[in-house]
Amino acid sequence: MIVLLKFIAVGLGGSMALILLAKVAMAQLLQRDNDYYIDEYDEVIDECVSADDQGGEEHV
Amino acid sequence: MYNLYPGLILILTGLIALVLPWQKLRGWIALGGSALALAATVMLGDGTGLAYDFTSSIRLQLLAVDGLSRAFGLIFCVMAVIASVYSLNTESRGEKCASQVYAGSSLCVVFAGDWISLIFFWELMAVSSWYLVWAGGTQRARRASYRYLVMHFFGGNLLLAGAVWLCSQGSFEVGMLTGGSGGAYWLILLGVAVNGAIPPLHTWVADAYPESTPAGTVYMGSYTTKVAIYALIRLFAGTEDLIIVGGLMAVLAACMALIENDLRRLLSYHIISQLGMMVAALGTGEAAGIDGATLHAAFNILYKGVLLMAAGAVITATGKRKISELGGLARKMPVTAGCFLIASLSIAGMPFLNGFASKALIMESLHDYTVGYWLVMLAGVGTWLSITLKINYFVFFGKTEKDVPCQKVPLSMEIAMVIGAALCVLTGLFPDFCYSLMPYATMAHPFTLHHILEYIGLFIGATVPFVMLLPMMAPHDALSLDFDWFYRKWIPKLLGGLSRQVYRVFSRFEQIYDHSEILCRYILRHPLKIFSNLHELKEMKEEEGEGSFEGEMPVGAFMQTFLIFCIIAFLVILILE
Repeated sequence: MIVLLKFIAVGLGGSMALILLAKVAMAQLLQRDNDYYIDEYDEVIDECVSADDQGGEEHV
Repeated sequence: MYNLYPGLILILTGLIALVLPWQKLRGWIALGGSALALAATVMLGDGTGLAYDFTSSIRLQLLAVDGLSRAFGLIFCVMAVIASVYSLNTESRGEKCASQVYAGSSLCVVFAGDWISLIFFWELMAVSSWYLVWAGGTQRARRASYRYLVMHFFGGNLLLAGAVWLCSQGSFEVGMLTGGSGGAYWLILLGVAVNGAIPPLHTWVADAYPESTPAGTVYMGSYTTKVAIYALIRLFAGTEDLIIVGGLMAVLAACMALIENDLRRLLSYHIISQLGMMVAALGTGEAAGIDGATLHAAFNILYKGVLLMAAGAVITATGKRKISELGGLARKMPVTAGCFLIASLSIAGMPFLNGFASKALIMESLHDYTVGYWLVMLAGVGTWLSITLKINYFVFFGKTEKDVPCQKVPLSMEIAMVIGAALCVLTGLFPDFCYSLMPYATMAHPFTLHHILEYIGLFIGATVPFVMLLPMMAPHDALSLDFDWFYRKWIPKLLGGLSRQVYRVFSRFEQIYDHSEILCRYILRHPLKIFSNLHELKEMKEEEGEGSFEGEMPVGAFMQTFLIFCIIAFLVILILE
């Protein structure tokens, strides 16, 4: 029974710690809009495409 | 059957599937090949070898069988059979071929006894799995596939450099490197760490796996990372630093899974978390640790396979991949929900399911390493929260007002999930047979009252905060940044900036060449004016009708990237020299 209570406490504490760490700290720090990366790529790809359209040359 | 090379059987059936015009037959050929490879692996005895004299001094050990390679080989073949059933309806012949070649090359890696064979099949594994991501067909899949390929070529080249270094010292055989140091040791460790998804080199898993086809994800979740665990056991077992690395990896990935909304991305983070447990266990170097890591890898292939198959079935049926867009699917997809529930309880370590049996070995091996022990325990709590509770509640069993339209999934998908779930139960109920197949055949005796109460207590305790904070646990529709932020956000900017600089340098060269050419022509035409004022150059340029070259870029976009690559490669070679 003591083992059960000990591990209920471990589960409770561990679970609270993980939820706080993930849902409060990490979510605030790491979550962004879904299109966060897309603009960056499109910008680079557009540059390449426009360079190719000009026969491999690009003008500043 | 004695000398049949199981990996080659899978690769050959993949190639046959590529040329066959009939879709149904392709599926059955792949299934037959997988079953034959399984039979061939079962027949392999310890010490079986297949060697080929590559040159007079180099002997390739294509088949070097011992307890470790046999254990990995068996589970790889079992999963190849299950995944072949799951993908019986796959129409793309390229995907069918790639998945068989991928499974076959993974099998060849674990049976390779020399560095040359290992590296060859390691790279074949990277290329064939890349195709599975690319076959996802979407723009996101294509982009993710190229990032995946770059990452794996990076890791593969590190491994190659390390292997070449070792071979140059006359050591062609794949053997233990634990306790070593020097360039070869670190290059090989980093190369394997890429495939093993050890942070910060782990981001390709969560980036690429969710973008693959439903069947492709099942294959991918089973092989690349588990081959890395095999390599870590074979080469670095007993490296104690890996205990802390593995523990931290397990907790970090469990936290990332908690905030994830994409179903398959969440499961991908849990692959990393589970890998962390294996890395921690193999870091101890004890018999229980090595057997624990091996058995956990094998069981992980089974239950993670079922979880990924169920996720694929959900996506096939609903067309949706975000947890926030799903709900109440247990009524519409009872088989999928049932199989997912069993596999999710297995991954958490519920008694009498297979995860419980393998975690028993892992925890036993970590008993003397307090930090590693509690980190792995904490990661287990994270697994219970994010898979067993979160996905089951928000996708399958929770009350919801959403009415998500569902199509019927193919019967073959359901059969594969049922086979996988049944194996999770069977291997969990009778773990002694599985223990006996491990390299050291360590018996863990998991069904003690004390051990069962530990896990029951842990799950009860972890469920309370989940229920109390239920609205907070609901997933949000957002993208989670990871270490890939560095290369996805900054490398395009860095490369763009570098490219512009390269353009400028080359345009300057061309400008100088252009001016020199005009000057020479002018001097040849008007030799008497050679000592006259040089400001006349401006006039002569107008005379020649040449426009200024200022700012023009003489090379194309591809060329500039290639040049940068050449410069970086040259610098790397220079440093290595």
